[in-house]
Amino acid sequence: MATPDPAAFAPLPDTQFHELQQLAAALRPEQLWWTSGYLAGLAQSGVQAPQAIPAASELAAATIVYATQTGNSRRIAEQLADRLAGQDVRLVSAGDYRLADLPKERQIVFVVSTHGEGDPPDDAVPFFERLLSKRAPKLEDVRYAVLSLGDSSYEKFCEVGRVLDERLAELGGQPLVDRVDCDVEFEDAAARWIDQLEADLDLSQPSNVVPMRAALPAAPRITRDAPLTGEVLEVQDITGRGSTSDTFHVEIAADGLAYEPGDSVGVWHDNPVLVVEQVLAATGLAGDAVVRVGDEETTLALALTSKRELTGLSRAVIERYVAVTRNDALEAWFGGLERAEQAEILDGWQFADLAKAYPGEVSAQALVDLLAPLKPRLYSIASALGGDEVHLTVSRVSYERDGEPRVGAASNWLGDLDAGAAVQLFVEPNAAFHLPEDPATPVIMIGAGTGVAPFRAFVQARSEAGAPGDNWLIFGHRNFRTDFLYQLEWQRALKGGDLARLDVAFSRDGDERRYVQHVVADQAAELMAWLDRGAHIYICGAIAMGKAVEAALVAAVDASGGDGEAVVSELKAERRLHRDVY
Amino acid sequence: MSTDVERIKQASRGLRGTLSESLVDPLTGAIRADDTTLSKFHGIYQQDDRDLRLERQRQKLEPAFQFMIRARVPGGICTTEQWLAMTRISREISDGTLRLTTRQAFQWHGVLKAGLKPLIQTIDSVLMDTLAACGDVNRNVMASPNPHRSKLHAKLHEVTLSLSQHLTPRTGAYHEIWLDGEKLARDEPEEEPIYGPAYLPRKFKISLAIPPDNDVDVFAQDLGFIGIVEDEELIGFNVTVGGGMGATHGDPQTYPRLADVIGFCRPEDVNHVAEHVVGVQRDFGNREVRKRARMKYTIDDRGLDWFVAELNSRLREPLAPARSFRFGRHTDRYGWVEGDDGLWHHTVYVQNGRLHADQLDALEGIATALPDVSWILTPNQNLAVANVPADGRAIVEAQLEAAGLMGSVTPLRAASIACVSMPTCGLGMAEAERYLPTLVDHLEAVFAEAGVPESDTVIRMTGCPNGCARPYVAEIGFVGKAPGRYNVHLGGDGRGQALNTLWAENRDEAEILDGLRPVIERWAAERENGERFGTWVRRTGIVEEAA
Ligand code: SRM
Ligand SMILES: Cc1cc2nc3c(=O)[nH]c(=O)nc-3n(C[C@H](O)[C@H](O)[C@H](O)COP(=O)(O)OP(=O)(O)OC[C@H]3O[C@@H](n4cnc5c(N)ncnc54)[C@H](O)[C@@H]3O)c2cc1C
Ligand SMILES: Cc1cc2nc3c(=O)[nH]c(=O)nc-3n(C[C@H](O)[C@H](O)[C@H](O)COP(=O)(O)O)c2cc1C
Ligand code: SF4
Repeated sequence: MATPDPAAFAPLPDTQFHELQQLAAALRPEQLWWTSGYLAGLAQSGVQAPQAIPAASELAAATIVYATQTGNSRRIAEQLADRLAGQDVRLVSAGDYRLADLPKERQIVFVVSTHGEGDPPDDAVPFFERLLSKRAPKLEDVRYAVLSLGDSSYEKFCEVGRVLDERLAELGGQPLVDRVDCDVEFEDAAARWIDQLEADLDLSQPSNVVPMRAALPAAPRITRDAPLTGEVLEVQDITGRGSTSDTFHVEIAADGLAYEPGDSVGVWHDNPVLVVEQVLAATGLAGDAVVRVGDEETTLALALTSKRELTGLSRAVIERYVAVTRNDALEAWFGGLERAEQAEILDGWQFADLAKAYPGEVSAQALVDLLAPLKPRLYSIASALGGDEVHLTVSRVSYERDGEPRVGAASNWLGDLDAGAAVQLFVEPNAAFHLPEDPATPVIMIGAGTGVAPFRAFVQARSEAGAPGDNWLIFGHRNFRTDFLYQLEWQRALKGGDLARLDVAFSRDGDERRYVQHVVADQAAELMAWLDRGAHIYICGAIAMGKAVEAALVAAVDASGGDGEAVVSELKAERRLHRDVY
Repeated sequence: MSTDVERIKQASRGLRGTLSESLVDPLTGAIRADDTTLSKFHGIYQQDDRDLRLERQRQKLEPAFQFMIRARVPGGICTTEQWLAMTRISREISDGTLRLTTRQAFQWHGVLKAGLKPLIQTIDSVLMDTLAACGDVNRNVMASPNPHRSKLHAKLHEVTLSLSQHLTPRTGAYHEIWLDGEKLARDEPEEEPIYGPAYLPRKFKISLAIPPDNDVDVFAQDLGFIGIVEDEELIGFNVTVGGGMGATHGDPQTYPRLADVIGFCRPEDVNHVAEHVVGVQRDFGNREVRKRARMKYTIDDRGLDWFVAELNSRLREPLAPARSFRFGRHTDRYGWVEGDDGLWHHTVYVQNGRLHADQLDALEGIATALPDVSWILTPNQNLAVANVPADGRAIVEAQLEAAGLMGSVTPLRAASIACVSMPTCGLGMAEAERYLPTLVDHLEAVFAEAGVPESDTVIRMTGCPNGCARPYVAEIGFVGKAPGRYNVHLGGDGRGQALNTLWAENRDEAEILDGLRPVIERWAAERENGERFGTWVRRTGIVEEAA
């Protein structure tokens, strides 16, 4: 019997296998040993083996991107696309274009106009901002062309096209044809440019060469106690003016952070100044008092800022505070409460609330010693685009107690960061909330408020992987106009097929309060049909909402003639009902 | 583009499209793209708050979609009951303001999708509509208010109403969609006897004037009727065709054009003549190139003689020769006038036609105390309270005072108008309504320093070259080019009978003021017996006579 051909079993495309063979042939024995260990280590260290960069062949041979305000650029782009009809060409507006695709393009053609005072068309502004930022990707094998529309009676004639051209070249792109700047009467120049491109574009099927990823450095393990230092790229409000809540989107460069959609990230925050000041005021202590934390000498203010938990309260902290201050009144009061009342205090009070209500003599050092160490906060990962970025969706906690402002520590600290700030983070895997293994399995995602975050990662991941399974998102929040988190992205996903269905419930728009569980009830029949097709259900958001949705599921099955309780527990047993509530 | 609009109209089943579905789509505040074309025929424009556009895009939210609704008010006259319903809409459904337009109509801004049906139902409840306030049909028919000539005006109004009625589309879509009326039994839309299934190639505008007042800018209209009065009787109208303002920067294929006078007809023939002018445009207007689809281009492409011959061949009898007429002004007269029936009328200046919530509240006082007055919207975006008995005048004055509408305004400001533009108009390139008052502050100073503080030079500003405030017949016209920058046109005649000429391009505020100051000073010093600024700049060759 002949030895089986290893290539037949390798989960690698032929070309990669071939390259591997070539590499192996070139290595000396000791190099070969080292390499095998290195690769095995990589596989084991929890570093998710990077998903092969989508082969260039997944993108069209040429992409035409237009940026238009009044439609001229779009029309020219369409003319070009029409001319190349039947070939491997993609047409997309700059507003819809994903910058992450840029380095993967073979040939990319831009038709852009200039507006305002040398500005890009409105919907292309974010594209240009990113392209001009330092986050822009390097373009090595990308060939590009630019047609620029403008009006020479303006001072900044065709500014946008010129800047684009220069930037693409700076990033390493190779011009296909020279840029053409068109004046108001652009038709002839545009037609000539189209002719030229038709001649110069290479629309043969791309070869199937998959670029080998450069060897990864041995990745150190990232843990809660050995977090990774990420860099904030952007903090962006995503609730509109007049919203009753304040939710923001954070993008962090986190080189080497490996995660799967469904995982959370742990963030080591500092306590905001306001929180520290409130504790100092309630205890009557001075922030510059010198204290020891472990072996380290520092000031009380610094210790409270980055070493101690101030907004979460625990039974142990109350006990230690009672002991230090000999606060009998506090002991008597707290001890006399029902268990549930105590839980309410522990959940709702910050340390400053306690110290204000029951003042007592405490030294700076004693305070540091009685408080618990700072605890990191978890946030669902809202991205799956790779590119070593992690995105979060965070709702800012702020409220009043007795007329005084109170803020949540981590959410406010994060929300006030500027681009460039450092963040310590680590991954908290959540295996129970990962996507089904079979990419063809349909998924139903039910999320309210920031509960939508992991679903953004799900949809991105399934889109990127070309997963054939249908995705159904049921989203709820307060007001349609201001709180439809990631509305534009969901609309696009629906249009492009990355979402098969999208249902929404806004609780404060109409006279009656409508929540996601009402959608579940209304869509009972459709839901059953999806479950029959093997769908998995994911629920994410507040604890109460999770319960309400589960109850609605039970009722929906009952309503369609089944045994709700039984079906739901079966779903759980089959690991088809996943919850991530907080 | 044009083919798109034509396709949508054709396929719309009498302007229905998928509007009903669009209205209930919970995923967007917008309606479907094709429906945005159709909604215009129902008086509804989809817009978005441009002040928030970038902000919301960063927030990953769709644009702040909202709607502008326009209600037709033929001749600009409405009853107190109607007026109150209009103001109620401002308070309860729109952004709180009521906008009086340059075509004597009402507009509301900032209406959300869910507010559309209630709004239209409110309008319907007082026997008004928004149908055909926009779209490729005949728009709101304008008529000079002329309240002091009560008898003539009554006759003019009768002709106006009848004409407006005659040219209203017959489609039942409006009732079906907005008023929950009966659905079409078969899927077959009703006949449009005047328009046909594809309606007109482009919007169509009519106004009626009685000299000496040309407040309706009859020469800026596709079709105009100039009242001819003998012995205080309205004996008929001169007919004008081919006016229009709209143009596109840098495109010589588009331009403003003044209408030509082509003959005379009797009052009872007005509907007949109008129907056939519409018919000629319907059959010969350009449906390939939307930019060239207005009737002014149909006339220029085929010649005026051809047009008149084609029209006459369709009329019961050809038009009679035109009579002589003379216009004096195209701005409003303010203050009280007594009609020949003994009732009183008071016209006030409303800055750019925008009435705010507190002003509407104060005006309600008039409605409560004097329910029999009428409310007249003027073609210059102003308001007249009409048919006030002599003993009601004090109440009217008190409430107008409370509304801040009695303050003294320089003649320069009183003769100025601006279109809407930012933040609602999707076509605006520069501010207009929100900026003109500031520019007029500066110009007032320039005129005062030149020694002519009493000047009523007509100033008009638009945010783009479409010309919604008819800037090309102003003595000084500002046409938006980019944020903070305007093309400056000089040379109207104060009567709406002369086009002005482009004088300076793409100017910011400082350049505008520095450029105009010496010209205004020279005019103040050199003009001959009260010669108007616009006439003088042309006579002295500062700008060439428009072609
Ligand atoms: C409200 C009003 C200006 C005002 O400040 O009062 C107005 C506002 C708009 N006009 Fe106008 N036009 C208004 C009188 C005019 C006039 C003056 C007139 O009719 O006497 C003109 C010039 C005369 C003419 O038609 O030639 C005018 C020529 C245009 C044009 C250019 C048409 C053309 O032939 O090129 C457009 C653009 C278009 O139709 O494509 C336009 C389009 C618009 C739109 C609807 C923008 C759009 O299409 O998206 C503007 C809505 C802005 C907003 O947010 O409210 N509007 N528009 C006037 C409403 C009149 C009414 O009640 O029906
Ligand atoms: C697995 C997991 C995933 C999560 N994912 C996300 C996510 O994607 N997005 C997200 O925003 N959060 C998420 N959270 C919650 C997040 O971890 C934090 O708990 C949250 O941001 C608040 O932290 P903070 O430090 O700002 O507030 P803290 O400083 O912890 O303060 C919160 C305290 O304020 C109290 N409080 C809040 N509002 C009021 C009020 N109105 N009146 C009285 N007391 C009040 C609370 O009871 C609590 O004690 C997740 C949590 C978990 C466990
Ligand atoms: C408000 C406005 C501002 C403009 N500003 C500029 C400018 O600064 N520089 C320029 O070259 N062209 C400018 N233009 C001209 C446009 O770029 C030109 O009309 C182009 O054909 C529009 O293409 P689009 O329809 O694809 O947006 C401006 C146009 C508008 C309407
Ligand atoms: S003139 Fe232009 S900017 Fe002004 S309202 Fe009309 S279309 Fe809008």
